[in-house]
Amino acid sequence: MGDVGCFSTYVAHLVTTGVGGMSITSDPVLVDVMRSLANHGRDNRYISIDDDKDLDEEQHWEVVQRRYRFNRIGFSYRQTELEAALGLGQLETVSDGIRRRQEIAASFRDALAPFADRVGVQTVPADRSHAYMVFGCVCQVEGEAQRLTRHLESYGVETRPLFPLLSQPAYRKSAYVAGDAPVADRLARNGFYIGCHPYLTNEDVAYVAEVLRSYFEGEE
Amino acid sequence: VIPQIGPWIDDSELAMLREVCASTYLTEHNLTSRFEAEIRALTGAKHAIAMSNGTVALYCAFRAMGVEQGDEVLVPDLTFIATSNAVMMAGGRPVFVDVDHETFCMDPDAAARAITPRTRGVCPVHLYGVSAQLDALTELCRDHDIWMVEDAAQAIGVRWKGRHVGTFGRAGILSFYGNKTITTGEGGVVLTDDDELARTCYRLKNHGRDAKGLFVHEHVGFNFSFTEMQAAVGIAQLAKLPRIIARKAEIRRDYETGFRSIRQIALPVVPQDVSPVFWFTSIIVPEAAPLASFLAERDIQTRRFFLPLHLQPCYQAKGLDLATRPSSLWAYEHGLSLPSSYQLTDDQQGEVIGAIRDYFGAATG
Repeated sequence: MGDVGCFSTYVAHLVTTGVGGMSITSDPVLVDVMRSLANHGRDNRYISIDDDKDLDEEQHWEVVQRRYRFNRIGFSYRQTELEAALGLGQLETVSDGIRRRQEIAASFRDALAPFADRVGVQTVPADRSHAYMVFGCVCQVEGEAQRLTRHLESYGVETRPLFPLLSQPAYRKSAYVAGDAPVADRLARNGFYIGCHPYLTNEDVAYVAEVLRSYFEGEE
Repeated sequence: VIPQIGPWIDDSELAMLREVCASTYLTEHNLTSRFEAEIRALTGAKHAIAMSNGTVALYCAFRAMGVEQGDEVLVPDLTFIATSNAVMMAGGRPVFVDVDHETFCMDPDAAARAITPRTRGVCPVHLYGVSAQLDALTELCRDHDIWMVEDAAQAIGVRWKGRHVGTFGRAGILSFYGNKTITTGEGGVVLTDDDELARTCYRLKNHGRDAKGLFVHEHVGFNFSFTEMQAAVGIAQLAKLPRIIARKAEIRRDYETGFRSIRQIALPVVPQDVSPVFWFTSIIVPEAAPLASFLAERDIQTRRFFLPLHLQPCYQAKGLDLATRPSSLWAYEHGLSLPSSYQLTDDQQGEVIGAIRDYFGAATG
């Protein structure tokens, strides 16, 4: 939808290459600029190690002349074949993985539905689909998120806080004034997420659902 | 085609990579720690911080040294562009210093002349398998109260008076790019004996955090993580390093013998204090360009020396001093790196020597 889209393929993400990322665009000018920037600002005539293959003598000479020419100030952000190899393997199962994540999320939603007055889940508008990298929840009552995550952790269910940028200590010097982003602030205080990944077995999912239920029903 | 350079990859890397897949840990974990420990043992550095590549390792070292807007850092005019780009990424201003005729590394006298009140540091680059003149540069830094960060991207295994390069400055970096003496595909490491610098470098590569798994960030950082795949390949490669170094010395010796009677060819001199690693064997000839083109027609890959920084299109009109650096330009016009892979066969090397002898009209054999 945008001019450029960016994906991450870090370990915790839907498709992983260990560490990695990908930009997508339909703009040929941006393609050239980004490829060059990732490659020290190199002349686009010689970006890939194979750009000197299968050329006639004149073209080859052109590449030789421009091999160490840098037209812009760039960075070293190339991906390796090791990452690509993992990524190709991962792409084969990505649809199955997302389907499984959606299945697990549905189970969690069902488990929480009776307690909607105390905990909300992320809504999915009709025109969008959700890949459920994680399963996010927001408690309606101030202070309950701490109690609930503590309960989950004590039963061996890992949780993570939501982490809005504006509350990061590293951004203390930014122009942000407390109250500028009330929704994000509320989510930071009352939100958390739990895992939703395809390695969860049906038994795991049932266990997490039970632990959630036991908190709200007070059957500890 | 006889390639100019290539990595030596076999089942030993594959075996290590299988371990990674079996463990399911893909980013920094046990193998990364082991790789860092092996690099510490090899170099003698107290800390080794693995990063996604040598360029970001250099950037983090400059940031850790506190480079700020307008700070000048001396870099040799003859180097890969990442050296000076890393200075600029950190907010500093690279000052291009001419190289010496013998090593093609930073000339300490030229460096002394380039020092101004804004100079904060010196970044010598250990080029083509030798080392810069570390005694003179260390003294220069001491005299002017400036720091040294060594770009040893090409120089794993290279020693100055018996000590591994990259350990003389406050920090140093190594690179493990695909064409290097040993490789991890992409990869780099910061070397330092300074605990605080090491902590800052780790933070910079880990989103500003002192450990993984925290989501409150005290500092602004980046993601320059290493991966277990890189560490796996690196560990297998380190085990091969002594054999690679020995083979490269053999290749260099055979070229030297092959060109002995050709007066137009000189091999760069190795200073007495340097234990070299002949990553590339390079030769000095009257004109590098036509020889490169002659060899390319015979399917022999060579590599010209770096286009000097003062001539790079991206540095024009940026307010940098672009006056001609004569020795760096001289090296670019006369230097040529020959096929130097570990896997170069005797027949292939014979072919390269034969072709170059033909070119200069020397009798073969």
